[in-house]
Amino acid sequence: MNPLRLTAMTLALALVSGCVTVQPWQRGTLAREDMQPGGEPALAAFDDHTYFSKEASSGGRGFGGGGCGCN
Amino acid sequence: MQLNPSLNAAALALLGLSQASAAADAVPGWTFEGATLIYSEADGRVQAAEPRFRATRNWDSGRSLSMGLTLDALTGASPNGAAPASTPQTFTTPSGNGSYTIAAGETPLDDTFRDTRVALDASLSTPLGRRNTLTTTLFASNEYDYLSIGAGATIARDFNLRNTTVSFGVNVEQDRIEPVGGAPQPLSRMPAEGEPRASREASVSKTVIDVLASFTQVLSPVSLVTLTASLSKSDGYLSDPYKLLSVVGADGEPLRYVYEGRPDTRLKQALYGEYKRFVYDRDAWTISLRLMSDDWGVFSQTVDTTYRWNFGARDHLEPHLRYYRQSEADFYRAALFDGEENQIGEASADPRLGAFDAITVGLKYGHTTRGGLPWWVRLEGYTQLGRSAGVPAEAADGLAKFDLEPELTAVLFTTGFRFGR
Repeated sequence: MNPLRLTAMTLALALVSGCVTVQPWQRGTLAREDMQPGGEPALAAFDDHTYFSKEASSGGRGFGGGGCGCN
Repeated sequence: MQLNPSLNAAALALLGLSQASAAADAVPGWTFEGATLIYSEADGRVQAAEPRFRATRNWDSGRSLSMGLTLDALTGASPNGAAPASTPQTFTTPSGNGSYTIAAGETPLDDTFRDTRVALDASLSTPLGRRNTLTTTLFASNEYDYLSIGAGATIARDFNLRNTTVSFGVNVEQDRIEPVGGAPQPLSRMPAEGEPRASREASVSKTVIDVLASFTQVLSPVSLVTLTASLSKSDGYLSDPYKLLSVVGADGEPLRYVYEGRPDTRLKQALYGEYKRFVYDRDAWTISLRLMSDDWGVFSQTVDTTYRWNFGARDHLEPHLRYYRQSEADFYRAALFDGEENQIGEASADPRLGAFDAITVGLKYGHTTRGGLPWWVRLEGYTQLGRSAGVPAEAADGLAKFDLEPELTAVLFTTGFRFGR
């Protein structure tokens, strides 16, 4: 097999495996509390409020919000 | 029967429920959460205590209602924006009826501010069909000089056997600000204590509209990625009515002080990516990157990572590292040169609009009781290191003898618990 075809096939395999569908019965780990996007909600809220008050940036993972006179 | 939360969640996942609804929180019934942040800056600067309470009701139908109460008590001293000087400096308090004096060479801090904020929020998530979830949110926040109300809605749709979730959201916020002493004219001179003052607006307002689009993709049975793009448009009074700038001569010494003035619109855009992976069949690793820019000239990069080491069946340690870097706003000025305040329309010496790097280092410990109730504590240190910016060339030599970007350090202690379900 020539190197170009081998590379193309490897790339295609990598792309396909990157989009592999995880079946419902394979989702036990993803359902864990420590695997939820955004992390612990109370900590995320504290962090967002603290950094909003001390830096010029806000938001990103959620709404920039604010709702206070701290910036 | 009391199920282990993660096993319970896994069981829900097996039933084909979506990732979000399969979280342990989604077990029908009430859940109550309490958490408190104690924030303490060095050198007697800002001290804050922020307790939060949340009650969440989940129904079998997948609907959930969450209500939160936040209290925020602030005290301490905050930079007023003026530059240090070789002689003591006296500033008029915002009310105009008092003054405070800062020693020579010191960063001017206004220690007269105290504030208590009360915030309420409620959000309702409702499944629409088998693949969509609509979440609507209302919130209100009140301080003695600030009232904010807002509403938002987010729709999420699952695809691809719930391996892909796409969501769109919009949030509108309306704020009313009633500054102590009124809102000063931008770049107008700070009057001396008791001196008659030009009339000021007693009440000003601003509107903030946020929109975001988010994409979450399951990559494997142990990893997922979230990408979020967001836009935020602010209109109205965006200045800080209590912030000043020094107007200095060639020697860098102050001639007078003027109130800051910022543009009355701001458009921010941000890109956020988060990758999570379950490693060693035990721990959870998260890394995120955020890029933000706005039409004020601020560009920032944030990298944040945590590693949750589940060293016991009910215990974990989680180190946290965050690095943040921002450039200064176009109108950020450490001070103005004599007469400059009459030639420009906007200027601010607020250190939050300056150029700096910030580092957060922290460690969290979490424990789940035998009864299945989790609690945690977290201790973090936060440091801001300023980079020189906005120094007027005519006074650069004179100002060089002062520390214009003093380091900010803070300690954050956070604790929280959850019970119910």
